[in-house]
Amino acid sequence: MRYLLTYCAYLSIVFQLTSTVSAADTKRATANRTARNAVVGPRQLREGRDILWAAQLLEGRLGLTPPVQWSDILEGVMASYGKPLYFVQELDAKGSVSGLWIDTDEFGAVICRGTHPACTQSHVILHELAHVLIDLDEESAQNHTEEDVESFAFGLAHLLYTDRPSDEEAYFG
Amino acid sequence: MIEFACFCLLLALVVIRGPKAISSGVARPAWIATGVGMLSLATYGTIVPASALDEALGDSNLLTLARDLCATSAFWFFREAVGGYAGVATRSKPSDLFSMLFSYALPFFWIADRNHFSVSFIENRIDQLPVWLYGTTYMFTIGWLSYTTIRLARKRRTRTGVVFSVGYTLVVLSCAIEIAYLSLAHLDIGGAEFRHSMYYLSESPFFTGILIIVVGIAGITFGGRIRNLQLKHRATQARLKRILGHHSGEAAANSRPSAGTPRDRAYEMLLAVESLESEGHVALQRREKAWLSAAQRLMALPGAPNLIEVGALSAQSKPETNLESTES
Repeated sequence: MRYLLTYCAYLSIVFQLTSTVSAADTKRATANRTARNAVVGPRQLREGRDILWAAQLLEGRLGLTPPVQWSDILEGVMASYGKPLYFVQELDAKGSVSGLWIDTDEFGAVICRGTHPACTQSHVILHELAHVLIDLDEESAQNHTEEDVESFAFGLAHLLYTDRPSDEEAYFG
Repeated sequence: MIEFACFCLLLALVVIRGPKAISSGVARPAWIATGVGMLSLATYGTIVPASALDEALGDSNLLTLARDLCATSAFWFFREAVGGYAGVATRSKPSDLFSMLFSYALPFFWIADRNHFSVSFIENRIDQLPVWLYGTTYMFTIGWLSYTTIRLARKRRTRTGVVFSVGYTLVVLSCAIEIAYLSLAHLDIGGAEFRHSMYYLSESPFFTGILIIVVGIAGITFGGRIRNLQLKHRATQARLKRILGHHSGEAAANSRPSAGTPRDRAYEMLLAVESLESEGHVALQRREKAWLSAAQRLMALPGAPNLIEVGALSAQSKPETNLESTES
């Protein structure tokens, strides 16, 4: 826990710094990707960018059954990722970056701006989780656009919003 | 009149629930029950005169038997549905249903002088033992199915279970009244006047009970269909679009992708408006703020991961690690 808090403080500094640099300047380490299973491969990314399509793909790949809870998505993503993910809110963030995913050898951290409204914060987390899923595959990681990632983030939100019909509806509705 | 109301509701349910019953096994028993129940009510002459229907069956009051066979089947299938809903295996087999049907169909064919359709078929022949046997066995079957359905419904303490229990209790009450009436009339206690005046005594509680059950099913069916329209989310989306249109122009409001459900579109709009507001470029009006707050309440996603706060922490030692990051 002490290590985590120390590391979170470090991430906070990284977050502040990266707020002022462009995405192109961010160095990417690729060694961690090779041993993981692809959840969203390059072929899927080319197939379409529709919310419902993305939701359906993620539902199948992550083994989700409606009604999907946050915990189901987090479990599914972490199982694919193979490492724990921590979620950090940065209260003093400045600049244009609203979210950040940092991948380390031991764990990943998703940082979002604590001053954002709750719904935006949730969406930033979903966006970063979509990055995690897409970047599990080397080729798709190189080819994806932010638009692709947004489609998958909206797909995850769609799953969270989808209700399973109640038992009454299933039997009599 | 009450038969007609039940018939119309059942007809609507059969049509609306048809596609779902085809695709979903758990929805099928209740759908079959509504379909067979509708057929049973149709024999009262709601669409085609009962005499014409009976004539088609040979003008031997077979319509009465057909009505009762359909009603029993409807009650049996509905009990299966309630059992499934309550999570209890009823352990009943189709052969049980056939035994029930056979138990009163057999005495029906023992009835002497069945020719020529009459709405008072039972009343006019109640002195015959097969008629009494037929009537009481049928009513006992319905009463038994209703009683066991109440027991199943009570296992699930929900509003639906209560509605069904109330409806079925009235049916059980009507069955008891009918069995008492048939027995007294068969023994000729009270004379012809009693026999005639009390003939329809059980009808009111019976059809009121049926109407309550059917309204209960209709409430679930139509309630679900209305909920699926996501009217609240449509209205929310329209309001958020107005906010966007007001502050960023119509082009910005209309440029949002329209894929997904109304809920997805409301979510997209909410994010756009939140972004607009948090950037600090616009000052929302009081009414717009109220719309935004309502949208945030509606679209809240409970259970989001707990966030560790780091803003208050000072920088400490940097762990050695391999870093990769994406930013948005």
